[in-house]
Amino acid sequence: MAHGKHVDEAALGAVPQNFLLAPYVPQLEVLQRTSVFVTHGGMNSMMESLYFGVPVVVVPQIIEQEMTAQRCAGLGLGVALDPNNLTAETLRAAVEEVHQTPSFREHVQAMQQTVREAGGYQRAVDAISNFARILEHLSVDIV
Amino acid sequence: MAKYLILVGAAYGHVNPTLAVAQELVRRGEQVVYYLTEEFRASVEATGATFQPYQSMMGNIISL
Repeated sequence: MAHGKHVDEAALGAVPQNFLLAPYVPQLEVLQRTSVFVTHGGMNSMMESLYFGVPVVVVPQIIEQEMTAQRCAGLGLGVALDPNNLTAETLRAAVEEVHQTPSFREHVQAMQQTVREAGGYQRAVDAISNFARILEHLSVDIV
Repeated sequence: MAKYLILVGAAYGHVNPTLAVAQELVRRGEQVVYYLTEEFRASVEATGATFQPYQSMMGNIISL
């Protein structure tokens, strides 16, 4: 569990031996050894989870993440939970469901292929450069 | 060579996805400038882009 820099670990009390607490973890490396990712559903975390083919349990914190959570659930990539009605039991049940139901991993693996073939930053830079060239031509014409 | 200005919110979730794009623009010979808070200087300079600092009025509101 990565809890950020504003949580006092002592205030969380005792945690089980198989539970690791840290302000930050190297997420790209940890995801490669992860079966289920419990996440707030930020866009970067989502893309990273899909890139490594890890199904999700999304506990959204803001409206944009709520939309992402619903989209994940709709596409069968994981489960969306309501943060206002969250208990240890509902969280545990969701993690077990995602871990034990093969369809989540299958859907995520299909999406993983799409993500990996999308072109990434190089395609983004191609698009940006093309747009810049169009603008240059336009300004020449105006002058 | 074109000149690119990157302005995003001073939060890791906003900055991080732009870094690979900036680095690739620099690699292709473009000039890239970021305006951000000091906390991001090292990340930005590692891409080869120029870092220009400003003081954020947002404080800790978005740097959760």
